[in-house]
Amino acid sequence: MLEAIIFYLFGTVLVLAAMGVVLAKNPVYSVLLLIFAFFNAAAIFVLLKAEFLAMVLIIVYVGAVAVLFLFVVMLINLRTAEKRKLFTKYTIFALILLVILGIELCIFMFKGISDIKPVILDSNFAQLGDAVSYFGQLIFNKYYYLFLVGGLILTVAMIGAVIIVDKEETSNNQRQDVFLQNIRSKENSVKAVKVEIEKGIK
Amino acid sequence: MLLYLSNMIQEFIAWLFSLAGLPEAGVPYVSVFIKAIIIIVVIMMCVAYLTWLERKIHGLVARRKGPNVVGPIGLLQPIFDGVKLLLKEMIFPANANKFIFVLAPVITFLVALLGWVIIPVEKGVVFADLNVGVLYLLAVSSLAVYGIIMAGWASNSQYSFLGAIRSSSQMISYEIAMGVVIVCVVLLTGSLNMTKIVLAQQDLWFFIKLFPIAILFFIIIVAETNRHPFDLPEAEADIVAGYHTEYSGFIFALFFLAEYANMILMSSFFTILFLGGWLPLFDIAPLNLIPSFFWFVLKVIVCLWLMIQLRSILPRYRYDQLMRLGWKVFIPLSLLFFVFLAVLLRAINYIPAVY
Repeated sequence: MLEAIIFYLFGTVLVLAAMGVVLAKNPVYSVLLLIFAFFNAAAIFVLLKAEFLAMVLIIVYVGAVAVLFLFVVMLINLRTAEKRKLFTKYTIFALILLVILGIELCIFMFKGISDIKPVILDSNFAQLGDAVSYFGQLIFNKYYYLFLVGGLILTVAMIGAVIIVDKEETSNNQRQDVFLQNIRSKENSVKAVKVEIEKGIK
Repeated sequence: MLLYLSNMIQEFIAWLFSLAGLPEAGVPYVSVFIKAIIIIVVIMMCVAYLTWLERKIHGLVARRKGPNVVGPIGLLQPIFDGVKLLLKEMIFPANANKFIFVLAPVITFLVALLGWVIIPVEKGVVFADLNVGVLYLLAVSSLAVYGIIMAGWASNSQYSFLGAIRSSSQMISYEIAMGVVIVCVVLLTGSLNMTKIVLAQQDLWFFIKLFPIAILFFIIIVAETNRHPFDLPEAEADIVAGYHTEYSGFIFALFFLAEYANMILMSSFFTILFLGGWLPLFDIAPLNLIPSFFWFVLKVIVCLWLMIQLRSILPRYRYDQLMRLGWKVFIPLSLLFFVFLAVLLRAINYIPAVY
């Protein structure tokens, strides 16, 4: 009973926050509402006894991805965003997506969710009693191949990002080389010179 | 000792309920509420006296006396400071976004308190003994960045915004190394539960088992809490006061309290991961007779003392040096150690000490 109340509370807030992301005038509010929506999703995960997923959702999406969103939105300063038009040239795609999603939802509603088998809840889960260890065993034993491929994809993406950003050093770029700085000593950087009058040092 | 106290509170509430003729089912809810309030009050008192301790230590380092006028050896000074901050006027900058301007310190303060939910101060004395305790703490500490970014943006001031940008990139970079170090600890314990991590250190503390990386973790928590050698977000020499330049009065006090509450939280985290939590130094007669709670407090105070003394004896890092240290030194080092440890544990067929 209490669980149902909490679920509907978080669910309602989640849907409202997600609507706010689209409808908010100020893009900063949009991002903040998106973060709020992530939180509610994490709370629903906790209700489903998937604490690990909830925490990972917060660490990855709220702690890293959304921070970058917020950064970009704040840096390009969209405060004077132009008034939104209700219909743009992309509206037709949005409508098509809406219809597809609506049909899918209807199929779910009429067919019932009982046909869908949950992947994680088998006998092993009850034996271990701990979602985290079960998750770990599943990833590193059964699906280790997919796990490795996932890691590879992320590495490739990271290398790509580094290559895009890494530019040729320009000549007036003053950067400190810590190694050179540390091996600098009095002997090889300071010397006494006799200055001739009206000639200076060459 | 604390377990006894917490049971007593529960029984007292149950007795009050039976006295008032209320249903028995409400007892857990009310006692959770009361315990939360007790935790918050205790943390606030600790924060107040941490500021006193900090000023005293800076005084000692500089051969001054520190606060010594209000009360005996200045013990009432934090209370006076608190009252002063509460009575000061709150000033809102002209073009500030008022809603987010006020929301930012509230979020920072809230996040600083949230982490305390899973800190076990003694065996069984913990608000919520989560199975994913370490992950929860990582999640909460990654949230601290939001209050700072929001404050920097909403103030509509260049100094604040620069401070916010510095702070968020610093916290994100150091979180990666922090995560890897924590994974090393989890490899040895086989559990993400804080209580189990402490119990796994009964034979030897992880500070000795994982020696180089424990030092690394200490430096990382100093950087995570934006404390001195890494306090670029509020470097007064270049950006006035960073993200809280425009704040005054009570909303500034919230930032201030959050910073110190975070310090205590991270010190407790370090204590639990590496210094054996509430376990005594050696499990022999005079040492294990002292209540375990005192061992926990003692270890936390040692960490805090170190963090404070770092502030008074070290010069500040430059920003590019800070980033270099985070990305080019700490992350490779912690990753290397992680791979080394994993291979070593596999080679000796180590079975993690799950209790």
